[in-house]
Amino acid sequence: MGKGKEEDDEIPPPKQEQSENLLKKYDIPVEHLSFEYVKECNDSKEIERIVRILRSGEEGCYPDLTRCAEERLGQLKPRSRLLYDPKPVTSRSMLGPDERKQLDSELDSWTREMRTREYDLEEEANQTQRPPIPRPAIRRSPREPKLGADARDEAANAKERRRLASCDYAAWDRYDAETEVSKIDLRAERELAEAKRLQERRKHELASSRKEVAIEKSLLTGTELSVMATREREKGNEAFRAGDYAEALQLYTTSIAMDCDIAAYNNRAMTHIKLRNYEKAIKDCQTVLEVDSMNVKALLRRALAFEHLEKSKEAIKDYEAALNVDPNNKTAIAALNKLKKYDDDTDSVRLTIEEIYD
Amino acid sequence: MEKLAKPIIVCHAEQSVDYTVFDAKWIPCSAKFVALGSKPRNTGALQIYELSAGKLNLVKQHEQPNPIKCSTFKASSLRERYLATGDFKGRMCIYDLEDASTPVYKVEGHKQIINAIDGVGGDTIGCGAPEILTGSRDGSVKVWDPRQKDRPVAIMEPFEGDQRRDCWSVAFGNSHNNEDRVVAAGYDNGDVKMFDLRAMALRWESTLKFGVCGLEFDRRDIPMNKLVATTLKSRVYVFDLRTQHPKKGFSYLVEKAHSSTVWLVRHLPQNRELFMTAGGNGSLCLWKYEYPPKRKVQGADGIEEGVIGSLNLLQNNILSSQPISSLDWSTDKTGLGLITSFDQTIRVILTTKLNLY
Repeated sequence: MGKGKEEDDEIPPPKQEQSENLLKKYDIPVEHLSFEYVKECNDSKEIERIVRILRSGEEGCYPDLTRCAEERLGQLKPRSRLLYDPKPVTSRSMLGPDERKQLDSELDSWTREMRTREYDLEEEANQTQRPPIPRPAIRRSPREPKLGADARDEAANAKERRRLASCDYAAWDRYDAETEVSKIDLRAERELAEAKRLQERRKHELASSRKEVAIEKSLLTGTELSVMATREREKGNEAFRAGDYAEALQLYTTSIAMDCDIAAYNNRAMTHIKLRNYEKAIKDCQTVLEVDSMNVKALLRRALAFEHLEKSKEAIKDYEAALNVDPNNKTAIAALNKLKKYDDDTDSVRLTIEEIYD
Repeated sequence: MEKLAKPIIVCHAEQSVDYTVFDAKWIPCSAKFVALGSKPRNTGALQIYELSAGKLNLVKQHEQPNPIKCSTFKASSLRERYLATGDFKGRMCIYDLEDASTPVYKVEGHKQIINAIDGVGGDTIGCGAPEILTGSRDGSVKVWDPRQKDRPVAIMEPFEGDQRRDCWSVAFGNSHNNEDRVVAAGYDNGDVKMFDLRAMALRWESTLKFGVCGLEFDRRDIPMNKLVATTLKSRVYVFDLRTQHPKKGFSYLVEKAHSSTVWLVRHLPQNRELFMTAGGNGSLCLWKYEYPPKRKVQGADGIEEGVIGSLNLLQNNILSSQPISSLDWSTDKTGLGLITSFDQTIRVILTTKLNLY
């Protein structure tokens, strides 16, 4: 997995016509082909070699030992190319009866859900004669862009024009190497500045394009809105996981504008915390808690926001409420312990301050 | 624990058909899909199946005049769910699946076979106009708007007299608002070109080692983030598109997999960091992209450069003895996939535990 280049640090596969066996080639004593050695071995390279030897079958066929060596290799070097060997796909008959039952029932309930959704979609579309969804105008191309690199051709032509003929002595007399060099430097500098400007402009364009999308809810049916809102939320989750919080915020906001789902509010609250908009995070959590006062995630997030705002009393209250719903919640227990300790400390500090000022 | 959490690809249902099946797509918001291909008499097959109680039931079928190569629902709204197809004679058609006997839109778009098709803007709001993208053996890439008859809205092709390369793959991306949109096209000589449809200019180009069979952005409707290209001779390329260096372009990584042609790549609709590649030996690879700690660095000259992350192979399975011709994830159920292969079989797979990644 090289950056921009293919890296081959693995052992080259042995050639077919080789007379010596792999054991000799890799210089591995035959005693090493044992469960005891394989389990204790910490050298990923050696394990790779052992797997190769075992797979080749030159020393006999030991399926259990091979599997054991592969497992060890998986622990030592999970990205080893040797583990890329494809296995046959799992068929339904290979699953245990419980797993199979679970998968079947999962898919059955999904197909039923899809049937109702499809029915809803058609009904909604038929019931009301809705106007078509407004779309941006048809693209009008001013000119056809060409695949050929016209820019490159132009540059080549220009170069051709500037080139001095070797027999043109008058022109060579006028030629000043130093000014030419400085011209080249100047051009390089200009190109660099141009490139920087381009990068800046792209960043700026991306930032300015992050505006809220106006959604005409009346033009869409309920099913359409809920499907679109779910997709926006999923996109938001992806951006959040990648650390693009500003982008995630925008996507969650669009999702909420389409369909008020508490999951989207909950996720937006977390995004607000990451962006340090604690007041807004608290507001989103409150929206969730108005609908579902027992929502642990919302309670925890509001508590976290309160904590950041140094309102430890409110935070403790929320953590305790979360513990009431889920008594084993580790986050709440840890945070509560920390807060109570901190609270005691601050109380004593506050007391001393009061004494001085009184 | 690690071992337990690994996703498992389960082959849930199989259906053999009496034609060469090139493509199959889930119909959005349903448990049905459409399968397309070429009949022995050199006509086109269009069938609709429904998944019910672990079986695939044929709902209806229509014979089409030309063999069909590729299709997409992405340019159609959820209420219409029209299917856009590209066929062997270079025609692009749009079908209303309620009555698929005659297309609702038909255009002789290319002189030769349409190898690849993509759509955008249909089931989204605020992500630009609905458009269809076709790439053909005749070397041209065209953008169509279903509201405009007979004429494409954009053409990208070489100059008169220049050599025309066979276009094998196309993809839409960067369509995060009503104006921005890019098109990526991959060619048989390994060229990958990215056109900016807003500026109507070439944004970036590169030449990979081998012909580019598969191309997909991780999402069509976000500021462009990643592009995956798959090529002949078992290579998978991943480009980070967030930062473009004026000289070095986009940073990328290469992986070797499948030990054969990697025909295609499809990102999971529910998680853009997961994608599956399918190979000429009938194998499937499920990958996860891991971001680097920092996605860009500033060079000494003040110009930013992207940093590529790494790929993690989650699962590697052999599904069929013949090459896989298409793969489509359901947008409505995480992990539910539809796979066609040249052993004339359609398979429904379910990948478990994807929500853990």
